[in-house]
Amino acid sequence: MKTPEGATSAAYVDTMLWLFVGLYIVLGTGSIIVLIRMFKKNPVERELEDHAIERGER
Amino acid sequence: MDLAIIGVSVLWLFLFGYIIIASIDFGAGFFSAYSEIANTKHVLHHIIQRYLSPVWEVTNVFLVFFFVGMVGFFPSAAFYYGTVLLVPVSISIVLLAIRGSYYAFQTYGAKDSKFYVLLYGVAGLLIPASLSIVLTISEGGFVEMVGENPVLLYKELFFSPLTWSIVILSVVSVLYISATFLTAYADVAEDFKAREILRKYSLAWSGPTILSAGLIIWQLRQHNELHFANIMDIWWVFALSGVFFAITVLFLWRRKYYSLAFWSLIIQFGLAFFGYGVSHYPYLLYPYLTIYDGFTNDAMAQALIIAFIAGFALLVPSILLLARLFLFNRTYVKGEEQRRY
Repeated sequence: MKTPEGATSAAYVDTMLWLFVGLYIVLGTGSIIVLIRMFKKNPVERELEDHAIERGER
Repeated sequence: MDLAIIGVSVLWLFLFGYIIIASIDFGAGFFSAYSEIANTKHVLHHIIQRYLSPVWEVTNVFLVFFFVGMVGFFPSAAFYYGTVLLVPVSISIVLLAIRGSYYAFQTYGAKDSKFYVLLYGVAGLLIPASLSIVLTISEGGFVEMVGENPVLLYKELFFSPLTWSIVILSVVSVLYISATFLTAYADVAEDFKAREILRKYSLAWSGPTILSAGLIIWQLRQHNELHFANIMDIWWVFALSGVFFAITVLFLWRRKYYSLAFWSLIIQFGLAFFGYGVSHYPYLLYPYLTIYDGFTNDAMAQALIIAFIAGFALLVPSILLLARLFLFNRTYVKGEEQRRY
């Protein structure tokens, strides 16, 4: 069996490809925005400081 | 008993597990979104937020098991359905991804976006609707063989009354299962205000559920006589299911035994679901495919059955453990324990 022989005979494969491309674009930008916001709201320095306090180093 | 029947029964059991747990999750998401519009957020928000959690993504394990089992046990079913279901299942997967991303974005995200909550709620109803298309297609009449390849007849599918009755049943029963569960859940949490509202939802959706189920049986009479005749042969299963439906409604109506009402609901859906499955036997796809066509070899079938039963034995206790550890943990439900972050 070669790849072309195993490929689906279903219609609209290309449409579905674009659908998933769209999904990944949306999820990708969403993740980037959320991550940036998360780090802006709670910078690494503050996080480290909090942990230091928690451990009783200060 | 032959392996094909055991195989299909195990798969059906997984699908049933998925339907119940996923319904609760989907419906809870919808009610949460709905409470934003209906101004009941202050009452319902607490109890639903306690329930809704990323942990429930485990429900998808049931679905994955089902698909893997389908390909393993019935390779030719994978060929037929794999070709035919490309579009419907792709849509379901996109919706599942949108819904899943809500958890991540909402938990770690910056602000409450109303639009996203609504999208999330509506996706929860569209997922069962799009997945239910599989059941419609399995009744036959929507797949045509062109040469060697099955082709889905989109127009027939879209304009068939059967399609829409099954879609309605899937959406309505999601709301009914979920509302009944959340009623029982609110009762355990002793959140009586929320319980009253959820009880109302549950009673409101009980009628449409049973009506649409009846509608489907009536539609099948025109669409697939053989299946209809098989259903009539085991009519007592469906009658018994109706009895348990009445018990659930009675308990809810009289404001008693909320947990028992939910168990009775599970029995109701279980009887109907397995009655439907048995009457569908031996066809996987009318009229092209039965469970004996292209069944996998015996060694593979035995290995799969063992693996699946072991999987089930692992999955069910872990879900029960999850439920005990935090879902039905009194301090957790009442929200007395503080969130750490």
